[in-house]
This record gives sequence, C-alpha cells and structure tokens, in this order.
Amino acid sequence: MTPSDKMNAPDYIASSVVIVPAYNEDKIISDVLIQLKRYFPHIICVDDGSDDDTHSRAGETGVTVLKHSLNLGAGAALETGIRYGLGMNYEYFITFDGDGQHDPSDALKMLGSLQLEDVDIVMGSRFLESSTRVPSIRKMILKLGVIISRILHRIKISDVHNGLRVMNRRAANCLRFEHIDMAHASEIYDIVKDNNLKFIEHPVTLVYTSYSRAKGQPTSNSLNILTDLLLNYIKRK
Amino acid sequence: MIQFTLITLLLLILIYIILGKDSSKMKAARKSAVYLCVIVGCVLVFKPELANYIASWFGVGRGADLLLYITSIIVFSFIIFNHLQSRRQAIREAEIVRQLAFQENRLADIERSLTEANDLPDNLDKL
Repeated sequence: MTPSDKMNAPDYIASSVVIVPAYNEDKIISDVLIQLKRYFPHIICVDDGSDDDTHSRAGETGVTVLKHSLNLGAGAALETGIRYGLGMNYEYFITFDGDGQHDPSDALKMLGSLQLEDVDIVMGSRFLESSTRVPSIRKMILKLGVIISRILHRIKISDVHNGLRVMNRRAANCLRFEHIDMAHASEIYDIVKDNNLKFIEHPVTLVYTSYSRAKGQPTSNSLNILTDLLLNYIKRK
Repeated sequence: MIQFTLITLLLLILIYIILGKDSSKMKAARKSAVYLCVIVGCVLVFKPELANYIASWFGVGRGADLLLYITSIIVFSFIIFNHLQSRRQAIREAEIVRQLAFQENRLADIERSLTEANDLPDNLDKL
C-alpha cells in the first residue's frame, strides 16, 4: 500500500496508533514523524526526558507528544505511549523507533498481516527475506540473542531487539514491563509466552546510517541486558 | 562433595531470601540472617578456633577459608539484592513520571481548548 491509498485507508488504519519513543533525537525526529504521518493518522511520540529540542521538534509536526520529566528508558517510554493509546481506545498499536531505522511502509504491511492472520502480535525481523545489511558484530550479537531467547524464553524467533512491532489491544493490555530499559525488548517474549499471545514474524528492512549506529545501543549493553534477563529467569523459576 | 552440597544449600537459601517477595516474613528472614551473621562474627572474635572446627565439619581446610567463602557469598548476594531493589524503585519512579506526563498532556489540552475559546470572539469580530 502506498501513501496515495490513504484516501481509501481501511478502518483499521484509522483505529491504529503509532508509538514512537525518542530520546535526544532532535536532529531526525521531525523527518521520522512526517514520514509516518503520510501513512498513519494517529501518532504518539514519547519524549523520554531528552536534553535537546526533541519535544518541540516533535510537537511542530502536529502529533501527540508526551514528555517524561526524567530519562527512564525505552521500555518505560513505550509503556507510557501504549497506556495512553489504550486510554484513547485505539485498537491497534505500532511500536516504531525514533532514530529513523524503520520504514513506515513495513509497519503498514505488518498491520495488514495482523488483520489477515489470527495473531495478537506481528514482530519485525531483519533476518527474514530482508535486504538489511546488518553490521557483522551486531549480527553476531543479535544471533547470540536469538539463541539465548530460545533457551530462556523457549520461543522460536529469528530476530531480537527489533523495535518494529504491531499488536492488537489484547496484546497491548499485557505489556507491563519490569525492565524499563532496553531489556524490555527481550521481556516481551516472556509476556507473549505468559499470556499465550499468538505471534508471527514479518520481514522488515532496517536502515543503518551513521546516525542510527551512533544512537543505537552500544555492544557492551548486551552484557547488561543478559545479566538482567538471567536474574529475571532465576526469579521466575 | 559435602563442600559442594553445603555451599549449594547456602546459595539456594540466600537466593530464596533475596529474590522472594517483599513480604513482612521475608523482611524478617533477611534481618534474622543479618543478626545471625553479627552474632557468629562476635563469637568468632572471641573464639577463633571455633572457625577451624566448623570449617573441618564443612570439609574446608581452614576456618579463614570458610569465612572467605561465606563473606564472598554474602557480598555477592548483597549486590544482587541491591540491584533488584533499585530495579523495583525504578519501576515506581517510572510510574510517577508517566502519570506526570499524562497530567501535563491533559493540562496542555485544556489550555489549548481555552485559548481556542478565547480566540473565537476576536475571529468573529474580524468576520
């Protein structure tokens, strides 16, 4: 579907909302939100306590902007947006990174898949028939993450920590994170399993620019995430 | 083998105390563990040879070694406990910040609608 089809946009687009967590993204957030607006009418940007002009830049685009007075982490920002969207009675929730790595057309296709398949969540995967060129070190860590997720969460996935997801209201209602930082992206698999949510993966393309690489989580953070996940695993057992 | 069994048992008890829910029983168990450590510590100051006796009972060569093992476990447990506590605190903090964001958004909406309402007569005059 192209933006020109928006005129005949199905009802499910009108009842969907895109959640964009952003932290110090004033250089790129306007472009990301303007691109998204070509596809989706309802967008919530959650400024996670940025020190720069992210809040005003996002506000200028006309989307709803929520501001955290402190920097909490991506998980907390996502939950804020989702809970606000639930309060506004949206039916479908799209999570979309604020650093410009995702393609809005992928989100639209995933929303279409959610309508066609009998599932609660469609998760983006950069390793399924996609043209994404993942930097080698990142690819190695992500693949290791896939193996660990399969062991810890007993869930069969091809990608981890991909911020592009589309879910229905039932799944959105289940998202209450214990990890308010980046580890929330792994915790989602626990939530999926605990609540018997049905999911599929959908190929998506991620654009690795010098900006997104600089903004992305450092490789060393994977150790922090792994520690938290192991502790959580022990606690759950 | 006895060393491995006892250390595992000690670790399991500590994990249970650390990761258990923050109920009053668990808080009491944690405090009891601290009191026990203090009492054992005081006794060992006056009777250091007792450490050797307990160590040999555990199958560890010297009392000093046993104390080192136990101290390591306690320090490690304390780090995990603090880490989990700070995570719980962060979740509470996140909820406050979140509610504040919702309130600010509501206030901004009210302000916007009031401004629009105030602007209306001026616009009508212009027409």
